[in-house]
Amino acid sequence: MERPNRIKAARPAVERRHFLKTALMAALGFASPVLSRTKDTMKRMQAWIAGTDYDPSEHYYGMAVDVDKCIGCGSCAAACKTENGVPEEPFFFKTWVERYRIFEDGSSEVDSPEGAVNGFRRITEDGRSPIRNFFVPKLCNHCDNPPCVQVCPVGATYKTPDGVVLMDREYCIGCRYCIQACPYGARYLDPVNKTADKCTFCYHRVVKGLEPACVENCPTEARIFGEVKKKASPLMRFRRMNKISVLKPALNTEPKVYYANLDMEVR
Amino acid sequence: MSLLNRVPDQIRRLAVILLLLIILFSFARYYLIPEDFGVFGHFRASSVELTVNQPLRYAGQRVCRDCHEDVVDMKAAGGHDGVSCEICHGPGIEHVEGSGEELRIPEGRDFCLRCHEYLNSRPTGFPQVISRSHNPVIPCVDCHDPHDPVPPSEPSNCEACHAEIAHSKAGSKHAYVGCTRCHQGGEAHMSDPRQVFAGKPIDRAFCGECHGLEADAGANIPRVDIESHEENYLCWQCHYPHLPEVK
Repeated sequence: MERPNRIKAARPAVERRHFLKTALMAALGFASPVLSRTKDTMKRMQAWIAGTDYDPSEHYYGMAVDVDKCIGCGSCAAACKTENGVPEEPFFFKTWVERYRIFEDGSSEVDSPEGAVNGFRRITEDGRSPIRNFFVPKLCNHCDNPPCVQVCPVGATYKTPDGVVLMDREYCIGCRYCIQACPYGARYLDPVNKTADKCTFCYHRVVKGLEPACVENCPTEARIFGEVKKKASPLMRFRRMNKISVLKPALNTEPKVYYANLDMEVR
Repeated sequence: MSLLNRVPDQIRRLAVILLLLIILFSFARYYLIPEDFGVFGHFRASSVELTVNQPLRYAGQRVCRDCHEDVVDMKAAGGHDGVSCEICHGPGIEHVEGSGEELRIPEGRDFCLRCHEYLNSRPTGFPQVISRSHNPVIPCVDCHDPHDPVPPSEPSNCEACHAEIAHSKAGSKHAYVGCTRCHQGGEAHMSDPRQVFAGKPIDRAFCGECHGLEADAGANIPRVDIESHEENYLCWQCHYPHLPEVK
């Protein structure tokens, strides 16, 4: 095929070839680190947590809550705020306690004054008689199939190999998709950093062999933290000994916070 | 060259543009995506360390026993065995690491009532009190040892249980009349309050020992004719002896 003469005249072939060659070489030069990078990084990042021999594949964490033991003191919610530096304002929580009151006429009321950080006060029932009356501690359910992770557009929230759903607060763009996606309302937007934040199962404590702050600070041992996949763990024993339910099972999120003696009214 | 020449000119131009776009994409990917993204999964590997490096506040109750063995063992044998030290004494990592900082000791009643105030939502059998009627204003620790919280076997004085009465009596003309002066048998009641009741004066002559016309008592004590003054009633049926000024 012969090129039309007028194009040849307008753009000399040598100049174009020279330009293309230079551009290609420059581009390859820039791209070379991309090709060589992955192997180095893998070598450097072999330890899940640098400087420790913690192996996340040996663990799989979950929590159990005995609703019949919760006295609604709010020590867990207060301890969580202290341990994790959650803002003081009464609408940011990583864990909180709800009070359910179910009345004879079938109606129910749920309240959680300040997330129960300061405990609960008595309420007068105005002649109505509650037939069931109890506290339910709530937190991130660390779902096996987390909807919040699925919707994150940048990979700032993720499930670790040991079954904890974590947040990367330096990589989060603050789009709030995950807050919308969580069916348990367990996430909030940090007012200082303007990024999403959530319960980490106190991952910084757990990897050091400590219990999460809420478990440590529950006076009636209503919360049990432990291994989901090890038959001999206290958590598994608790699951065998009690009738266990999870919140919103129909959503197939497969929560790893297991409730014992949970009333069917609890959502 | 003949092979290349056989490829249409426009395809060759497009191929160059496509190649440049691919290179531009890799270039952008390299500079925009963090180096450690994707090492373990669809996230930055360093964010795990970011989470793990968060400072601790609660030391956990296992370390407390290293220094406070006596208190921890006493607590483990009592009703507060499951109550971690830091629930009451506050976050203690700095104390454990030797900052010399003293941990808090809750005072008064509010802290204990956070768990033990009566609420109808609390589980049945959990020890609860109605603070308004359970010895108001007296700090809980006066009678209950928080490290071994059994109900007190014997109160140190009457006021420990009957604070409201003691308070009104303290401001009354009967302030210096001891409780057992009128409530005889009160000592046995202190050690066994549900079985033994402290007595009340059973006749008018008892009050007459001070208030009768011929009584051997101070001149400023009010006197009344015990024989004829409303003889159908005992004195305390009309006069409140813990605050006799009340009409």
